[in-house]
Amino acid sequence: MSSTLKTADGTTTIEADPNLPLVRMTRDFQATPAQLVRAHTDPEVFVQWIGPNGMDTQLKHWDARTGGSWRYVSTRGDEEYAFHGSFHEVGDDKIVQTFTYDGFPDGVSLETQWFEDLGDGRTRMHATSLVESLETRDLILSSGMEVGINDGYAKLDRLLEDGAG
Amino acid sequence: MSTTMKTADGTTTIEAVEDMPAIRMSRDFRATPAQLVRAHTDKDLFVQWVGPNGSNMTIDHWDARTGGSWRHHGDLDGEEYAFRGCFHTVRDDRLVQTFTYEGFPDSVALETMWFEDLGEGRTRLHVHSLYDTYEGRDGMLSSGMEVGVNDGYAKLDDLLEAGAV
Repeated sequence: MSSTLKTADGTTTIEADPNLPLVRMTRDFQATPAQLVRAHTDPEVFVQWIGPNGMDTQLKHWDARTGGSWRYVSTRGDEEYAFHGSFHEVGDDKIVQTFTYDGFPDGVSLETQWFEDLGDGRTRMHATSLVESLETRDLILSSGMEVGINDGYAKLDRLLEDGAG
Repeated sequence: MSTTMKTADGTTTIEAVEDMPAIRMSRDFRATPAQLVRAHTDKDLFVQWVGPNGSNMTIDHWDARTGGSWRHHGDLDGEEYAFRGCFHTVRDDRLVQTFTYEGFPDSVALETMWFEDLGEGRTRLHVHSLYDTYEGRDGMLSSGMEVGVNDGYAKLDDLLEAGAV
């Protein structure tokens, strides 16, 4: 397995840190940092782009401020996936949160997103997921995660283009 | 730096995990798992034992349920030390929370505690703290944390012995 992969459209780089139980992602958007924070914290915007194509996401709880928490369920046909977490920090250019897939209730990752202003209305998102072991890190990378990520960010690109983000 | 240390009274083992930016602690108590969960989630109990001796802890915010959050500060020799985080999981057998010392606001640890019933009213507390860098982990290990850990757990021993938990 390579420690670096790209999504199908080449826009997102995903890599394992060689020494840490950490997955890093970077992706550029035609958006300001404030728009990207909104896309990750405004419930009406978030449900429109999160997850792979064909998956519907319903927020069960959403309190996107420092010390708040969230829970959502994604469905496709008979499939149902529930997730929950806490917002440790919601800042102007940074979000730190915990993340658990309810199918593995003892698993938890710490997710940090930092939005780097590139100027000219472009922003680079730096996202990291800190997980409990190097094995978990490698499992995530080989899970096909890049499909959902690619679909989700492509949807977000379109929302931004339509002025909805 | 040694990778394993004991608190002054020898009761608590604190070790740096090899190949992971993590700290592992374990300590036995004359208590049931339920009492130890209560000691970590009931704010009126928690404030009586957490932190080094003489630190005058104050709880600023406390919502000890899955999806809740907390903040407390201590006052030691005229200096204030504040900490905050989220309760990601609050269960009978497991607590998961985020932890930030506000003096280093960008550093976040993910702390997991579980309670191993040893029988005959004894329980082993396991604490696993995951950092996103080795520097963050080593900074915590060399900060003198063992003093606060030792003092705090000794105070908790006294509360348990007094039947207050």
